[in-house]
Amino acid sequence: MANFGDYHAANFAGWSVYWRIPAQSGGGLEVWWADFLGHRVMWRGSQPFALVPYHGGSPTYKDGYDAHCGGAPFFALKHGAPNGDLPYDPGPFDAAVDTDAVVVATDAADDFGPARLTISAKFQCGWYQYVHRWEFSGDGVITPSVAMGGHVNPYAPDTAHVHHMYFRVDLDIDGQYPHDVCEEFDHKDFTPGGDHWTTLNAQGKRFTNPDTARKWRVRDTVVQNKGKQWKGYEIELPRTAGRDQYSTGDLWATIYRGDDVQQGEGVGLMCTDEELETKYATGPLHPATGDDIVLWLVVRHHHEPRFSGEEFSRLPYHFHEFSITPQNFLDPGSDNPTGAGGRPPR
Amino acid sequence: MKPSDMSEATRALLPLLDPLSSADERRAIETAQHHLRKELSQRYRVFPPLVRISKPKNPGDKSRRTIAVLIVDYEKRKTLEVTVGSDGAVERLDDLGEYQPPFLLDEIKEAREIAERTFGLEPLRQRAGIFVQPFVAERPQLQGGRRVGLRYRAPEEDGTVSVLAEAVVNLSDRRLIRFEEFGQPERRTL
Repeated sequence: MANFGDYHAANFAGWSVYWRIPAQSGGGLEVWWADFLGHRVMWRGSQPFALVPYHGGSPTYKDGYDAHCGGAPFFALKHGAPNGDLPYDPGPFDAAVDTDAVVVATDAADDFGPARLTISAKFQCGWYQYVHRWEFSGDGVITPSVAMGGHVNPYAPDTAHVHHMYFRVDLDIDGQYPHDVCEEFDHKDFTPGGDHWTTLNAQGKRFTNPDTARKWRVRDTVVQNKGKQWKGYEIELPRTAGRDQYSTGDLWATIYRGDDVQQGEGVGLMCTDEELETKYATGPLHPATGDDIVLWLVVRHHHEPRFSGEEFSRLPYHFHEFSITPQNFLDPGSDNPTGAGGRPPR
Repeated sequence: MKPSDMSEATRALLPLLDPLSSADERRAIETAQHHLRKELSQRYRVFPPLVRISKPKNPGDKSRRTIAVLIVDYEKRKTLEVTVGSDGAVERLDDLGEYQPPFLLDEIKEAREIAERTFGLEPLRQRAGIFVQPFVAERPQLQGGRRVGLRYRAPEEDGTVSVLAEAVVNLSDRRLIRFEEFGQPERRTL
């Protein structure tokens, strides 16, 4: 058994999922082969890198996979490591094996929500700590999240900055991955038909737009549920911070080119994400027949440090998340398969 | 596990998901080194091998298990990856260009020795609680090589942890290429 890089199974709430931490990559926690009630939903999900620009134009770290610009890889910590600026190399809180870093939690359904399978891992990145967390709910929803903790930058403890946290999500709807399309939703007005889904015909960079409730979905073109609807999963990206000259988009629709390429390498050479647009998300998509869609998404947080107050000693973990929600993936009447929200399972 | 929770597609992967054994690791490394015996310089390091499971082109086709062995060659300034199949044969050799894998502990140790020897950091090392954090120096493509950034840090009385010095060592030519000391009356830089 390797110290890092093996696949570990986790099962609960109707989900079968594998996780691993390939320490050789420095890209943190990966979840693999997420199946819900016997049906493949996701081939792989990860949050392999971050861009962290500071006011004043420098620094602008690229952390994680293929780190650049003064940044550092994600280094697995024991999950019980205290939150703070920890000693390193070797440190008393280094994870010796991958299972030291990960917590797999199972929560039963209660009066307010479905059962949940949650996979969390803690990483050090310079003075910062990042927590990677993937929650799989008994209603089929996946909620990836990332937390920032540790300590503020000792070079610039008072300087505000933005954490742009990049996720790679490879959805394979019911396993029919060569036949998936990526679609973009806009609520244009309240007239009948004022809501539009547009099927993308080219890979590329996309933008959020809260004014039109913009969201995206990966929809299959060959499998339907029993309600004669195409199976899919949709993605909503909440926003508390915006794009800038370093992090220039919100979502990139691209295609699967392998699990050993386009994982974040070569992005951030100039401390921006421009390579996602110029190198990764290039080429056509096929709206009629579909493709094997891979999405890159950004979760953001503008951090105005409270170094002269609450954040002097450590940064309380601060989670940001987005949702991956089934859309017609389940059959009519089977929307509560695992007994969500206090209702009995069907 | 409820049998119904796992898809047939994942069930088909189960024979491929065994943990990587020490014997598998050793064989893959030996195969990679043998394959590159005429290409590698005298100074290189091998990273821990990693299992890869391929996604087949079409659903229903079989996935394959391979083992990737990553090698950093310092003198040739190359990062190479050898993919070894389950039959032990080399399937692919990739030059990963400017890709910077995380620093191995041995690399950090070597970089520290070079930095501390070059700049006489003995007084710094006496500081209570001192530790070193690695980082990736900016824009490797501008200078090339395997450049290990080192931040020398130590706890202060107020509970914060300050940066005492920063060094960048290029392991490709075993040279300290940048050094900066902070908070000293006579600040030393390179």
